[in-house]
Amino acid sequence: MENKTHRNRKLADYIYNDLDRDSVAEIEREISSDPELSESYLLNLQVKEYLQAKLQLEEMRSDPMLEDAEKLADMAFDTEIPEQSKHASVPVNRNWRRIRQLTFAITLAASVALLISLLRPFNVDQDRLYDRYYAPLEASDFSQRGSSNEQFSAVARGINLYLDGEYAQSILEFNTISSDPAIRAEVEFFSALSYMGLKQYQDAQSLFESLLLEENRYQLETLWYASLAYLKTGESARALSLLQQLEQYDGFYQKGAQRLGRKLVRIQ
Amino acid sequence: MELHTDQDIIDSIRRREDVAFKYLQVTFQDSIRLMVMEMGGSMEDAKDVFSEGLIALIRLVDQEDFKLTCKLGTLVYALCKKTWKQHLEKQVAVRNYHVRKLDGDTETDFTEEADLQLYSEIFWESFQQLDKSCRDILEAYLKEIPPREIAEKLGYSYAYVRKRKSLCHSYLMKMIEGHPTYIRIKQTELSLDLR
Repeated sequence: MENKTHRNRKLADYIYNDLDRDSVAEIEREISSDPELSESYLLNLQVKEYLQAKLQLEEMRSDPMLEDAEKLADMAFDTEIPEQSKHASVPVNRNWRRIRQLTFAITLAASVALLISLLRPFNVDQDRLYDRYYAPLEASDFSQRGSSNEQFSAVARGINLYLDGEYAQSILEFNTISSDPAIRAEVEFFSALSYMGLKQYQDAQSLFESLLLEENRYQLETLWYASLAYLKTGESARALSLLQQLEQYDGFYQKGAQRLGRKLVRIQ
Repeated sequence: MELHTDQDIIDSIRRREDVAFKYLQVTFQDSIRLMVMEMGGSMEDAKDVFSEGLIALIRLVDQEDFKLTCKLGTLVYALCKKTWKQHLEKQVAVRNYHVRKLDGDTETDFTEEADLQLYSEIFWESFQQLDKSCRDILEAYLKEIPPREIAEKLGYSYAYVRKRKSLCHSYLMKMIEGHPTYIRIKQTELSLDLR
């Protein structure tokens, strides 16, 4: 206990730059060779950096001259952007002391992350990625297009049931609709989404695969949700392949596909 | 070149000197990131907001009639806050058409932003629970005020300030590590890792 307290005080001296060179070298050696101390150091650093930012932010928020600053800010947004300003670079750098600590911290964090990743089962990572990225589709403009006949009305009802989270009802509604090429994409896509909502990922995958056989208006959404369905069932190679296809398209899903793809590669 | 005052930095920005931008980045980026995240943004949003805020600052200081009538840090804060509000307005407009959960992603892989938010609350709550003398000393250290100056300002000896700082920081860490929410997060992480 006493040792731990002594060690914490030494860590405090280190992170507040209050140690001489020899002591710095000594504690850095200890941190590098002791995983528990490494973890503790990273937490100490995180706390310090958070508090620095928080105190500065509170000072800005309570500055009596804030009103003046806001008037000046309004002026900045009232003017056009000069070309030179648009291209002004904002370089990344830090003073040497912060660089030194930061480099050390990053190296250490990378080692800890590697250790954790080696210890963590693969499917747990995939589940966490899925939970992070999956969200039901929350809106559709289908009802604006058609309620002109019974088929379209049924599709609209099915979509609305999906949007309301009534996944089983939605599938039942879609099952009543006879095959019609004009609405096939809607029926298959929203049925697949409903299966995902019910956690029946393989049923969803079959429908998504059918949709991917030819171009349709839900192409990008299909690639996205299909990749998630494969992620969830542990078929990461197929998930990755779909994400790579999605990356080729500009648009809403591109950035997400790039990030999820990178993360998937990293945990494979 | 050394930048001693806010006006030095403004002049340096006008001359488009890297040193000014480095200073702004080192000094203000973390607090702006925190502001954006406290207002519901992601780390990625915060990066964009900070860059756009600096571009707005350049635009402002280039105006002939510009005169700094407040602290530079407060101005950076006001510019970034305005940038973030404009960004939110655009997001709302987009959401009126389609809403999906894709924004808010970060480069931090499995470090969930929700957990970060909880950690932040724990850190701040614990810091505020320290006694006043501890808070004063740590706050001064965190603002990178030299220990001799802290001692003089608070009426303590130099040696006492240094020793007290280490003690106070270790109290703080003890409070954080014993915080029920912190323990809960750690236990959840552990159970996920062991599952």
